Amino acid sequence: MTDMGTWKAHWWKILGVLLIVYIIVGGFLFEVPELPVIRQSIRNIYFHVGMWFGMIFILFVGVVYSLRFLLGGRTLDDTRALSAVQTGLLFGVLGLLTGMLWARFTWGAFWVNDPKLNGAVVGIITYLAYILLRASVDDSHKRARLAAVYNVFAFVLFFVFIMILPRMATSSIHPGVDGNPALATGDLAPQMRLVFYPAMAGWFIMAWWLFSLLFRTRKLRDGISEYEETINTPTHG
Amino acid sequence: MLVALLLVIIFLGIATFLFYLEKRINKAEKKLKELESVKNQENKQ
Repeated sequence: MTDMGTWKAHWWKILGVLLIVYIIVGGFLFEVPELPVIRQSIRNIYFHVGMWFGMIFILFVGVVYSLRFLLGGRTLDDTRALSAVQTGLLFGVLGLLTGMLWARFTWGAFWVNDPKLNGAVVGIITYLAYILLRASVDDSHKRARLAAVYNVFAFVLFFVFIMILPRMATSSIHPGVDGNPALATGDLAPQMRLVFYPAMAGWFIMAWWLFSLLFRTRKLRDGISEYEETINTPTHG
Repeated sequence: MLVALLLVIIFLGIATFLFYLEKRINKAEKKLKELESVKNQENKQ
């Protein structure tokens, strides 16, 4: 590939890396408002919320590919959906870990019995079940169809667990029960928006990059298996 | 300051690994395409 071709193929990944570096530097060193209780831990918003939104974005991508598989029956769409769910799970776990760290410094414990937190972990478990479901079916076409249908339901369930049920609960100490945390007007100080919006873009790009790497690795592995099968199958005539 | 620097170094390490992985995947994809085209030609003959 030429230098220009390499640049064209990689510019968005380089942008993603630069954005994350900017988020780390800006997130730790730029000024934030001094608020009671939350204090300097507000800086975690660039990581915790960014990873969580990155997860929702890539899980949505997964649902789109599952629907495409159900409509067109192309195996590659199922492989894409699986890669998206795995990437989403990674971002979900990172989001939970950064959230736990934040909880420790603001609420005094890594985990508190809160509808939003419990909903998040149940949502993650719903997606873990997707992986288990795939592992329990041997027939590849049947597995792909079942997984695609389940993935669509899992996405809906996920929103029920993280958005609807916590809003129906009488109390939650997690912010954003009445709206979208950090996105509503007035939620963020103007200087924090200089890091928060690039953070969203950065985590979205990283999620897409990881998803594409996972997909290409799996596609390659399947391609090698197919190739090995063809060379081991004796040809007639 | 020190924590930010440490995190930047860790992240740049991860990014370098991802670019390396990307390069390896590109190479493997090319190789597989070559092998498949050779196999297809053999089958035609």
